[in-house]
Amino acid sequence: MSLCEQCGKKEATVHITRIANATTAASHFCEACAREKGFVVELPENLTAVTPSDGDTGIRQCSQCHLKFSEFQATGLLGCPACYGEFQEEIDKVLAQQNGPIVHTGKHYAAKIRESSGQADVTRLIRELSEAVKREEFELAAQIRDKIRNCSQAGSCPQ
Amino acid sequence: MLQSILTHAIPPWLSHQGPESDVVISTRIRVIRNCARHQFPHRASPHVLARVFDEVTDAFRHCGLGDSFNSVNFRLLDARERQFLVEERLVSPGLADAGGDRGVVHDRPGRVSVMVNEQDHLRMQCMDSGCCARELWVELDAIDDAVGMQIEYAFDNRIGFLTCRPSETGTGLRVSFLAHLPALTMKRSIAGVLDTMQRLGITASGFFGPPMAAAGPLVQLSKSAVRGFGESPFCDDMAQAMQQIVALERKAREQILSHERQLLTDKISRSYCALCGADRLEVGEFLDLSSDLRFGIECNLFDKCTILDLNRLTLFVLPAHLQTFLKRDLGDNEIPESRARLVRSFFTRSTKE
Repeated sequence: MSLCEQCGKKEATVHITRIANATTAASHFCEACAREKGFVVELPENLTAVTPSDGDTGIRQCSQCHLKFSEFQATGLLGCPACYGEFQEEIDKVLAQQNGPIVHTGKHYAAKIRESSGQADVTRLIRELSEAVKREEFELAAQIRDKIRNCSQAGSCPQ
Repeated sequence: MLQSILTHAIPPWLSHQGPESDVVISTRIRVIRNCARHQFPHRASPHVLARVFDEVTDAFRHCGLGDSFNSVNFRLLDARERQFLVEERLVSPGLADAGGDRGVVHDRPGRVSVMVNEQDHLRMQCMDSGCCARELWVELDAIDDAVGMQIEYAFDNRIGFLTCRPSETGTGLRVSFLAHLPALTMKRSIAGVLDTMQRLGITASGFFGPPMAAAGPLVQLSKSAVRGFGESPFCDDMAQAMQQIVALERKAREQILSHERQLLTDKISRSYCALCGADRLEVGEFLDLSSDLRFGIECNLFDKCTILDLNRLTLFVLPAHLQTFLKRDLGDNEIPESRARLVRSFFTRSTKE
């Protein structure tokens, strides 16, 4: 548990990351101190008011990670690999500003993922299970438990 | 305590065994890779960060590179333990400060390290002593292939490996050298050399990278590959640029030795006295003074210790190493004092032998 850097007493539950000129500064406050510092900590009651709607608001964002184009402009950081497809035109402009061509001529890569071993899967599943339980998502937890069971019965991992 | 430092396994990049290591202390190359199906670390939920961390750890366990890789989750380390890894150059200072499931997968000797969930999912680096960019690329290329079989990388046929910052897409490759240029510094031609490098897109920074400006004789020279360049030709170009600096530095050393020998021996003696006589030493001060001794050892003008021992000392005067080997936490004010004591006892031992 990390403590609030303002009061040093309560648990820090509000985490603020500022990114400017390629430097990242993180601050951690408890709810009360965050409010004092003027950060909005409440979720809006009506969540639909902030969820993206298609087009009519005119806000461009990535369909996968919901990163708004304005956020990319502000930080220079993309949200996920799919952003490259969403904002291709603008990204090409950024790339064109650099010296050299846009087209990559180095090493190429084609995903040839080997079947992952049972042990690795089980380790991951167990972790996901405990997290699902922590979040009280019991339906998901049950599904994960079944997957672990299947994996063990298939004998793909050592007991 | 001194004994434990002198027998401590030194990271390969400080081993002083590579080609041109009289001038080039070490070479480091890194590539950026991201998982195709996860958000970049700055947008990822704690759950996704944990998942990426597990995937990378599993990938190294199963990619057939042997079981010499050690996975370290920063959640389990205190600030000093993280700083220790920063000082060994296995991770960046930025990663050491960030929270959540981030960390590093590295081989035991400290040649290869993979920062997990830094700005990108994977930042894989390989470093060693001397000027060896091409050799390191061959090694890193193989590791990259092996990991790429386990993790699906984000890759686009047109623009290359996808990165959190679009300007870094392409090969995701960066080559850096840590060079010791005392003669060019003494002859005041270092600024001109670094200017020329700047024009080639090679940036200079101090021993610890950006926050400390390039000053004094220890310089880091780095450049990221531009798109349109293959990895091997880029590494060759960088090595060639570095070779030119090596030639200039060696020539300057010869000139000083034949025309300004006394000036140099005087400088070395004074620096040695300052190091042995100081009651407090800051890191920057230590680096400047010890650079004169390093120059002296290279020119056979100083024989109270070897370069390898000096490299060890350079690592152990850094705050986290110092505290780890004293086995206690020191206040900010105590560190320069303990550092001076360590340096003094180091040279007293060397002189006695």
